[in-house]
Amino acid sequence: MDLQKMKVEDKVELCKKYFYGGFALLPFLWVVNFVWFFKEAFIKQHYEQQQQIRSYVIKSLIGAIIWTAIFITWVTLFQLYRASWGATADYISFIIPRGIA
Amino acid sequence: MADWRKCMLLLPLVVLINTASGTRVQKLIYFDVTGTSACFRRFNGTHQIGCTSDLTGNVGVVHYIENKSDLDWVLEAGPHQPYALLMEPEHFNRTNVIAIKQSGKVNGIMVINKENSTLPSSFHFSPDQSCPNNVNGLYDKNSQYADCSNVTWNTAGNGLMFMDFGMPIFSVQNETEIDYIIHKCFAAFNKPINGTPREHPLCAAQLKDFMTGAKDSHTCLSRTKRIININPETYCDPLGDQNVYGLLKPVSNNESLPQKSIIMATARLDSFGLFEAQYAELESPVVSFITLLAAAEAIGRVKQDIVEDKNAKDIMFTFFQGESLDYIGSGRMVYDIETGVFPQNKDKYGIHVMNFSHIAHFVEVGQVGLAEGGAYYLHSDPVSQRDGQLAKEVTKLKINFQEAVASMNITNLTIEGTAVPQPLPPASFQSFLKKANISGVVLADHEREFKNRFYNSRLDTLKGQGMDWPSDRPENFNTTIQLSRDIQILATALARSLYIMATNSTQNISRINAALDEV
Repeated sequence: MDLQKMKVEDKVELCKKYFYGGFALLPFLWVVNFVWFFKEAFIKQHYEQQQQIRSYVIKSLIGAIIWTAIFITWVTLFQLYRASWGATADYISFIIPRGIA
Repeated sequence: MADWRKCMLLLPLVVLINTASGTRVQKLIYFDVTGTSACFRRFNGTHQIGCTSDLTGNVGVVHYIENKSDLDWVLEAGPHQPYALLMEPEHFNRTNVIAIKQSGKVNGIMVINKENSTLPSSFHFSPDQSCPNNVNGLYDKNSQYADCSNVTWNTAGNGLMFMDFGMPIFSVQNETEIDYIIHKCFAAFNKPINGTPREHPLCAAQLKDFMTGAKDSHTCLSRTKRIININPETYCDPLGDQNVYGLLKPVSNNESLPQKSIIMATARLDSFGLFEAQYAELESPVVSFITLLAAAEAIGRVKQDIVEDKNAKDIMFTFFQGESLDYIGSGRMVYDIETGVFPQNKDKYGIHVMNFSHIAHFVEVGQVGLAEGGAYYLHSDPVSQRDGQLAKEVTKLKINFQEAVASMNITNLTIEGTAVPQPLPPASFQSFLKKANISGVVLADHEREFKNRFYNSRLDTLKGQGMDWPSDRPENFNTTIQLSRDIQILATALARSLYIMATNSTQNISRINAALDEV
């Protein structure tokens, strides 16, 4: 899918699909959306639907940042406190490290 | 095209050279030490104790600790940390081990454990606590007798068994290998010259015993039982075994079993030690259960008297397993009796269900191998004897023992009660007293502290205790040593006492004699 050869309406549709798709717990779609349509949204000369694309791209970026923050927080908490959570932590773990609490 | 062909020719040549002279590099670098025994990890409800290593093993520079000054040098001045120490057994004690742990410079210990080594007579080593089985015993909540406040039973105890070392500890047995490590590894590469450390290359040891379980019994058992894993893994196994018991005249479930009609004669079967498969256990408990077995054999020869006499009490010879670790065996039997399933459910066909009211007396054989001058003592519990009736029964038991001794007509044997009221030593009897007031005694060779300097350790052997097979006769089952004779005398006294307790008469007891051959 080459963005150069697509019609503007199709580009807007694609950006929109990726944006809404990301809500299905797929934050990577938002990252891809942002990277792929960055040039379209900000670098190219202004055209009519660029404002729409721009808004989708910015919202995707915000979503991706929020998700990253959530991931980092959860991973840090788990690594630090897994041992002290005892049986609960074992219950939610798939692989439990051997030889340590 | 020409290059192709040249490559083809080169390839088979290379393969051939490799297969012809291949030697595993590992064999050139490593020397395998096989005569070893590891310290491993154990758990209880709240803690983990014992040793572990990293997944691929702990590598440390070897240093031989012959004197205390060697250890001081390593901990203060040694620059090549981490070290793996090779220690003479005299230095493997609590102070040194704690210093080693705290320094953080050592990541493994090898303890020399030669079979023929002679240790100084002042050396004592017991990895058990100085107050064994304290928390799960009878006096745990008792203000007067808790925590061995009255008498410290195991004065040699250093509690090493119950420490969480966090590093591997091995016991090395093979003399050739020990010499190799000392001379070809340490002396050749690592030994400091005039106090200055040597430079690399140094000789190192890799100690590997990675323990998968962690934290405490509950955690590691629940992790073993999880059903998530595609590859189920066992993190730990529970400690367990079987108690052994036998009755002279078992009563079936259909008939009635009179109250106070069973005398329990018990001994312990187990011991523990820091290192796996090194459970020497002579004084405690081998001598104890051999004595009880010999007494049982002697009574077996006259058991018709007891079986035919309707008023005679039955004798239940019981051997408990797992007593050294918080009374596993006796605790289980007590639990079964309490819930009414000992020996089996009352609905089933078989031996009559037993409860505490059926037990008349409790005689336990404690440590009896190191008596001085044939003096044995009967320990009894002061707390339950506050009940006057029970105290009278206990006194009667002691008198029975003395009647038995008197009938034997020998000079150097005395079996008496302790001089002052004092708590029971660690004994299976404590598990029973926790639930019911039963009159009973514990027979032991010590009046106050244990005479055994190696309680529950790998050094509790004939040689360790200063007795040995006579050098002119090889070690085999037909050789008699002084210990065998002492056991025979004590077993005879025990058998006669049990007979008196069961039949309430002293007639004809001189025919009850333990057989020296059997011992």
